Amino acid sequence: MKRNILIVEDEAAISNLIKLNLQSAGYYTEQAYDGETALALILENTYDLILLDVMLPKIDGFTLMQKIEHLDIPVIFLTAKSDVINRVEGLKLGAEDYIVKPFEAIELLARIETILRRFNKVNNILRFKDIEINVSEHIVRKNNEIIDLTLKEYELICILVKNKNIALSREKLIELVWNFDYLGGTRTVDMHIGTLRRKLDLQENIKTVYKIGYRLEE
Amino acid sequence: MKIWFKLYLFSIILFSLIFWITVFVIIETFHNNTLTQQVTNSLNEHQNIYNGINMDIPAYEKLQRYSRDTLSSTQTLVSSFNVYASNYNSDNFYLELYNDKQEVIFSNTNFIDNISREDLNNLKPNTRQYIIKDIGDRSYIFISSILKFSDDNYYFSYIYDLTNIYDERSEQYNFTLKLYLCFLVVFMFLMFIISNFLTKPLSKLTQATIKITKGKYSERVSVRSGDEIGILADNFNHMADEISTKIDKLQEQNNEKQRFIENLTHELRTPLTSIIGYADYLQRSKYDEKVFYEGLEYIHKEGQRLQQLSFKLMDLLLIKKDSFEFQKYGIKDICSQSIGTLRPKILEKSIDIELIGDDFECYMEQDLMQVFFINFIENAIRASYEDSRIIISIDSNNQQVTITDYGIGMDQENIDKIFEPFYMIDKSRTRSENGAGLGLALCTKIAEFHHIKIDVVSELNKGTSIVLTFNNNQGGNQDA
Repeated sequence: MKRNILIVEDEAAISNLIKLNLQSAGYYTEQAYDGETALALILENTYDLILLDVMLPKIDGFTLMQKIEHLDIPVIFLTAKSDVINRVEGLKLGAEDYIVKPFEAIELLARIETILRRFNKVNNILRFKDIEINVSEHIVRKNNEIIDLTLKEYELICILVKNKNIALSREKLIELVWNFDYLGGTRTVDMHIGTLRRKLDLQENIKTVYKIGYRLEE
Repeated sequence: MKIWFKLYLFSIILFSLIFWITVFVIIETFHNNTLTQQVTNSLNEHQNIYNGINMDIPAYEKLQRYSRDTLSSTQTLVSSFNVYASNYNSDNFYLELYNDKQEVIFSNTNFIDNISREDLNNLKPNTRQYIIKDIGDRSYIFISSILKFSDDNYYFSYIYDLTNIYDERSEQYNFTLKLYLCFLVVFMFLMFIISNFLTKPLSKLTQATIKITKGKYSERVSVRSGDEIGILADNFNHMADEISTKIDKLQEQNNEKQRFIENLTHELRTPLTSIIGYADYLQRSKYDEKVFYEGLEYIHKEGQRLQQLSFKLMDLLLIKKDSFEFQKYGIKDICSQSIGTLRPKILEKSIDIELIGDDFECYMEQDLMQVFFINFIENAIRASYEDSRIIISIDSNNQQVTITDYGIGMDQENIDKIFEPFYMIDKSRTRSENGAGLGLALCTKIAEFHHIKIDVVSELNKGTSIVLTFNNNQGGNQDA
């Protein structure tokens, strides 16, 4: 089931950018460009999560937050203001998280996923074509057959599936799978990608992106 | 040492000093007078006795010459002395007689033994010598002269006890000391109160300074006296007023600066988010023509916005008075040129714009002045509804230009802030016209150079009037 996310942001450029990123990660999105429209949309539809800018025309983010608090929809504030007081105020109002512009798409997606997981709104099963990853059981099946993967291979395929259609740099993958302190060089990533391609028959789907890294394509 | 204590201590010392000097002078003068009096009396007495005996001596000499049975010279003198010594009924008075070998032949003293007698040394006939000497705890005056009797020289001394006079002086000192101690107690008590009273305002001031140092800038002292301390307190209060005003001002400036930085960050972060985000997205996602060109357009547009912002910021931060030349121009020309520049926007909203009033000339930097008017007129256009009007009226008598629109207007809160950099009343509207909220901040700076006073009158939903008063005809040249 795809999750529905409302993007409340008055800057069309940023709003569209978020939309693009969320869509490629497999979310439904809707957009509102001011507080009033957003409030109407929220009261009318059901959303799994709201990305809410603070400085909005008509009704500002904090006020809007107070008005929709009772609906218990997880909210992530998006703001250009980075000072602590704003952050604290936002979180006090019951926001789940606080993202300061400019942000990285991957970070935004990671945070959204964390919150959805906390609200039990994340599938425990990730799917990609005929591959099915059961996150709670740590089991990967292809055509209902269990495939044996090492821990790092498993983490790598999870990240690729979660960020499908988006290229991930080798550095980013090392950071996410092997943690920051890994000193082995990017060669390891290439080796693991090779194994994954072979084990899961993904030669066509895991594309090497020139100068960057890898992208899982449908 | 505290000032009241210093005052207290020094006044006590001064009091004691003056008291004792006065007392010393009085007692010593009195004593000296008494002493001189007594010495004169003693000299007279001595003279009397001396004369008395001397008068008797010729008679005795005659008797000696004619009678065998007469007494010796020495005996005669001794008997004579006895008569004098017993006739004077005074305890304080003594007589002595020595022969020329300095042996005592008569003395009614009971104390003179082995005492050097300077008064007897080098004594010459027909002269007398006296000396005042202390013997034990008593003082005596010794007056001596030579008696001649039958060719023999006798030394005659008259001694008078002066102890009383010295005792009297000591008694006076003793009495004065007691008097002094009584006075001192009273004086110390009064002075304690006085010095505390006099320095009380100072401790009040000190307390106030401590409180002010701790940040209670509203603290004042109430000292009502016309003296220096009163003036000091007044000045202190005045200073505190000034400080608290300055601090409020600094606080306000600080807040302004804080807002400026916050706003600047916001203005930078927003386009940067788009630029970085799209560049990143396009680089990493699968090629899609629509998304690709859309993304590039955003990057381009936001890049332009950043450029605009940086240029305006440069203008705001870098314009300096000495880099401009001021020349005389007509205000009306500048206004109509500005209107010309804005023509497309005016037509777009079909606004009727009127320029009325008599022209006046002013020293100005033409380009800056144009930026100045364009900004105000542009804001008036933004605030106006479609098909409404804007009136620019020039008043040559008062050297004023008033730009009036009949648009959305604003409340007091907004009026106070519109000249702050990055301030936007309606964020989305301004953005769509590529504004960064720097225009009026720039105007403030330009007005500063040209000594123009800006007044804003506005009412929500009724419109806004900007009154520009050109304060002097020299424009910026005044300080140049």
